[in-house]
Amino acid sequence: MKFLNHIMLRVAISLSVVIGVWAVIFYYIIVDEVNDETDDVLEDYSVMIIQNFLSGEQMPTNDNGSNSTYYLRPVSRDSLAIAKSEQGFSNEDIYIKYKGESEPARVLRQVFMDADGNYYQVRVLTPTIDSDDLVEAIYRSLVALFLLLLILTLLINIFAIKSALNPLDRFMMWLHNSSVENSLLPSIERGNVREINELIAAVESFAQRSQYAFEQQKEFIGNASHELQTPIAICQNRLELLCDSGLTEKQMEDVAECLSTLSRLARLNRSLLMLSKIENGGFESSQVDLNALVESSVEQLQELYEHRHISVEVNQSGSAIIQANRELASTMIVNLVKNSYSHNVDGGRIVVDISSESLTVANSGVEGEVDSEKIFTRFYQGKSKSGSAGLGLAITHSICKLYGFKLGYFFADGLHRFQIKFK
Amino acid sequence: MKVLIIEDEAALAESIVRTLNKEGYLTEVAHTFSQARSKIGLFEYDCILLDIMLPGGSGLDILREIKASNLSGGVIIISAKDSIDDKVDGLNLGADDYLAKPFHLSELTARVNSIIRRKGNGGGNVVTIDNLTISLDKSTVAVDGVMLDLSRKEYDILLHLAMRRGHIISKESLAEAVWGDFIDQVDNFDFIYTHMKNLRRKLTASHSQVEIKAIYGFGYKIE
Repeated sequence: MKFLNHIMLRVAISLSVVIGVWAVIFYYIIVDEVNDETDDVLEDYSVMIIQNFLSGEQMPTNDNGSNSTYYLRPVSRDSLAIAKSEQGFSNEDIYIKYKGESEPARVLRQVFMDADGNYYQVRVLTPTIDSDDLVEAIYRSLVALFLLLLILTLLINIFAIKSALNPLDRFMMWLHNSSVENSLLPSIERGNVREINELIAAVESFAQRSQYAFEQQKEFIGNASHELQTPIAICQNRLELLCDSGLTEKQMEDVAECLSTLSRLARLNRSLLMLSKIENGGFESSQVDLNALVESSVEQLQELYEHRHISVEVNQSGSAIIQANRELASTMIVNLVKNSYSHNVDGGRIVVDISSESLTVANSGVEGEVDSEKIFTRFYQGKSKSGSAGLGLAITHSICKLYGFKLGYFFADGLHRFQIKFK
Repeated sequence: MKVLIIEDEAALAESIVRTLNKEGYLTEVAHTFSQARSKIGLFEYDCILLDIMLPGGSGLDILREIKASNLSGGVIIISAKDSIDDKVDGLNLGADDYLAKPFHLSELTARVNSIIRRKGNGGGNVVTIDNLTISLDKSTVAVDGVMLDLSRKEYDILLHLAMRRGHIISKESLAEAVWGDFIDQVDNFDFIYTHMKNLRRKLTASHSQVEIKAIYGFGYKIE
């Protein structure tokens, strides 16, 4: 869920509840106030009637235009108790003669006694239609106000949150487009939300430190393998001098073993240098025809592996022309094809498929499926083959990464399949 | 024939000196940038082996100086910096060849021989050993003037060994030279035997005095 939606949902829910409760309470208070007012008027009216009656003044007429009506009747001693119990306010439907229909009304009954000790009951009533209209108007306005308030609050919130999150959006773009391996993008413009700024600053400095560590590591590998070249050269050359100085066959064998180990070390070193070179980038690109490269690699390797009787099938359903450095493209292809030979079984098979979008090299092998997570990491070896450093696929992987190709591994129909997608 | 070796690593320089001396070259060694500059200023050399990374400066600057003063000797860069850029820079500045460390001494000898031959007789590209003649321009081999019918690989093998006459060439370095970098992961050099067998048969059949000797478990050699 988006942050904005997350906040808005919660704000909307709590606002609806809070404003709703407020509106209900407000409604009842107002209604109560309106009823109170009606009751006060009725009470005043009733008091006036009682006073007028007791003092013998003229009683008000019932059609005085105030809508309020009164009824006065003597109460016998027998029904006094009932009349007393009826005292107070009530809501009743009253038949109004001059209108000829019943209407809801507020009624007040009171019992009083005159100087002669006779009891009377006065009943005053006023139709509540007016106050009902008022209550309804209040209800409508409240609902409208509720909705308006809710919508406005949400809109203001959306605007405020969006503008506060703006730098965060820019920052996400920055993160997506930056990588520790390549250069980081320049710092983005800050907003004025402190927490977000602090987050951005923290991540930026983290990225810079990671990049620095990465650079250091790259440099270290480069320097280390570079510094190893000279000592290897010295050892190798000394052994070669030794060879020419008339050794016995047994001694020769030992020296040969040393030399072949040294050349393995030298190759390993060269591969490491190659890796750090690829990571450093900066290669000139040109159009490279992969079909031709694949054909020549297969041809040359087939000769080397003739004694293993591996059958090769190259299917070209399209021509793969890529924009890349020629030497790197060649390394990428050769390593892949070489891998399919060196990890094959005697009498096995290799199937290469080339289309304009992808290149797949499939080969039979001793093992079943290998860990696709690890297969492209440096020095990974399946069921190890001596003489191979386990850097070939790592180099191919690095080259693919440099050019944005996707290198994948999967196992199907008994064949290990390596696929490069060029998009 | 005089060769100047500009190399700061004494042990490496000594190996090179011993090899080249055996080959009949006079050698001098400069271990630092300033030593190298003064030697170049004072003497003339037929060939200069130049390390790029030197105490006191870059070998590429020395190369610039050599080229600026129009010295006639050939220059071979030997560098641990196995980078394309360095190679391109060096060759652009006028170096004749580039050899990455670690290298085989036989390889170095072959390169020095080749440069001195090119500089010496205007590029007459014929290698003769006893009654065997290899014409580099035409890529042909003749014994007593009779052409041999060799395959491409057989020719490459023979040429490689002939150019490094007197040195034992390991199967690995032979394979690397003839088949290129493809050889990296190969764990079996059987494929060389086939070619070698055919090559030797053809040489024997044509009564060549040149013989390819097998050094058991290691490699081959032309005496």
